[in-house]
Amino acid sequence: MLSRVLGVKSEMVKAVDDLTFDIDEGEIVGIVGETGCGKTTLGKSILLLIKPVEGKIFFEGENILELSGKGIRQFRRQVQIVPQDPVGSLNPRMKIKNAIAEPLRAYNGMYHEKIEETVGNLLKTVDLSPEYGEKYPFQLSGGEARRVTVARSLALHPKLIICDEPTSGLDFSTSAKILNVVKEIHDKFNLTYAWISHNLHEVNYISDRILVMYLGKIVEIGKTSDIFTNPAHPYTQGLLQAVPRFIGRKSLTQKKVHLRGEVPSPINPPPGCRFHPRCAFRMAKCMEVEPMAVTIKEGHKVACCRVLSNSGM
Amino acid sequence: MDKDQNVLEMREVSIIYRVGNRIGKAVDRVSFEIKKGEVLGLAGESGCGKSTLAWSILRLLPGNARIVSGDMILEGKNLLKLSERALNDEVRGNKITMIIQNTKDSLNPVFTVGTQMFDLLRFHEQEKQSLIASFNFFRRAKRNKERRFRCIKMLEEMEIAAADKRFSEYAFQFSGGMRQRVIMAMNFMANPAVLIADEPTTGLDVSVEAYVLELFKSKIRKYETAVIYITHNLRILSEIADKVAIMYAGTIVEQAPVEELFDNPLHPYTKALIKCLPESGVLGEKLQEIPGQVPSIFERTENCKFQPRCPYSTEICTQAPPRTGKVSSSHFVLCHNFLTVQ
Repeated sequence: MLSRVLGVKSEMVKAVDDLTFDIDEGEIVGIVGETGCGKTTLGKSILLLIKPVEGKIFFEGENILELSGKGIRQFRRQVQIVPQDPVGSLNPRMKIKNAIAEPLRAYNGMYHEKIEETVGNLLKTVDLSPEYGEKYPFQLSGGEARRVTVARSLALHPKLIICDEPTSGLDFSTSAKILNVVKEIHDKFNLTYAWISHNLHEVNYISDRILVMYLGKIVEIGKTSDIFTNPAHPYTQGLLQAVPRFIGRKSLTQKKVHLRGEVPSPINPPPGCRFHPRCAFRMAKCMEVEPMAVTIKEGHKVACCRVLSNSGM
Repeated sequence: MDKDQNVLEMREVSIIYRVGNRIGKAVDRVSFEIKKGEVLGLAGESGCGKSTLAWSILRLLPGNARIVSGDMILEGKNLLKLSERALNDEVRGNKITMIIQNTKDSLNPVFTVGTQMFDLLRFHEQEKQSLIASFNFFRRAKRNKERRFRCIKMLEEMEIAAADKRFSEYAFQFSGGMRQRVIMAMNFMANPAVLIADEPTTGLDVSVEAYVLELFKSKIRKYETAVIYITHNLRILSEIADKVAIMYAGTIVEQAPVEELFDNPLHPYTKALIKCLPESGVLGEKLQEIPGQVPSIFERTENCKFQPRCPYSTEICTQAPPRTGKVSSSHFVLCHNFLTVQ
């Protein structure tokens, strides 16, 4: 349903470079990566908030980058976002019910009674009682504000929702609540999610497939279970190793790979494979050639010179 | 100080906040102790009072806060009896240091990092000298050179490359992980008896967080610093803490060595917290939630504060305050029913 080839370039920084992937209807795709990997830029470009310099983004078969005016309006009903900072994205002078009703008024031209009913239903969907409609954002806790933005994102019955770090800054019990609400909605309305997060435990729990990004490139993509049991890219392995584990729970991966150093600035990415300076397995080829994606198993692709040479290609 | 003595003891500490004419109890009779080289994890969610407790040790709470009862004993001396001057000269940044979450709030942006490290040494190593001696430029220059050397050595110890160049750089020229390491350098340079860390790795990337934690662990071991590690992230505590105290609404509801706490949690809140983690969930099923909310500081009862949200509460829970049950010499639970809770 959604696929693209794209490069987003500003004057100096290639935030996202030559990215190709698909999201199928009903899937939850986790997009994982650290600072500077481009995942937020990716999310924004799917929403047409950032225009890619090159490439195409197909939504249900249509290239959205060629849309204009009315076409964009129609498109925007179908792709919504749950933003990273809920309180920042809610107008502090608007009551919650008006914040949720805003998209309804803008797109559907709904009238008064219908709006109240719809807003009430949306609040119920995220497990908030209707009286929350009368509150202002400053009166809500972090978790409640987050649920309000989720309710708002559902207002236009979108097909695809981009969730940008939905549980960042929340306590564990609040996160659990959000995850449950989001999962319920996904199952009930057959939605598709792009779940951007750096929390690997959460991504493991909720996604069907995972995309691992590093400095603007996809380094690995595959089913969640495949990636967590058999991470192929050294970066993925290092990342899974670095995640703090809870005592008594199984480690996310058995391999012992340590990531050295810090993520370099995207302004001047390393030549060849972007990960090579931090890679424990680098070879001479890694500094010269950018690796192409190799399929190691059905649905599981990795972009790594070592894997490329090991598979005899 | 011998290994078995407590470096820091908190005895029945209670702290209130005065807002308008209302009084809210943020911390209610909290007690714990730490020995040399021990890491105490103070875990709890928003509103539980862990940060208030931490700041209170250094007496850096806002004006409307008050420590109303209890004692804080550092190496045998009661901190609450010290004057502000003595606290500032001897304790803050010296015997007790702190690392906080937001590095931007710890490093002054208009001074170089080196100046700030240097100032620490200068402040705490002030000698009383005669007027004539203070004009001894040679002695002063030599001392400054030694101090500068110490600072750079410390930066190198925190694995900051090109430390002598970095010494003259400003905070904005460092990445987040590096800034935390600089602050760690400042902390360990003072060689404190107690180090208070308040969510130091929140906001850092996963790989950087892992790296900083490893480094932190090795330095704690090297300098045998007693640490209070404050976080809501149980995973981090399982990697770094020796013992953990779980806080809820201002009280410590359970305290135990880290492995025992997570293998055998007894307090209903601890159990609920552990069940909230995504890795505790069974794939495909809902995660456990804790219904209800933390009570506001103005609405805290003397009886069990968790009772309204507790699936195991019985009649006594609303009638009498819970007493601390001693499960073993190191495992304490504040609950009426912990023996019967499954």
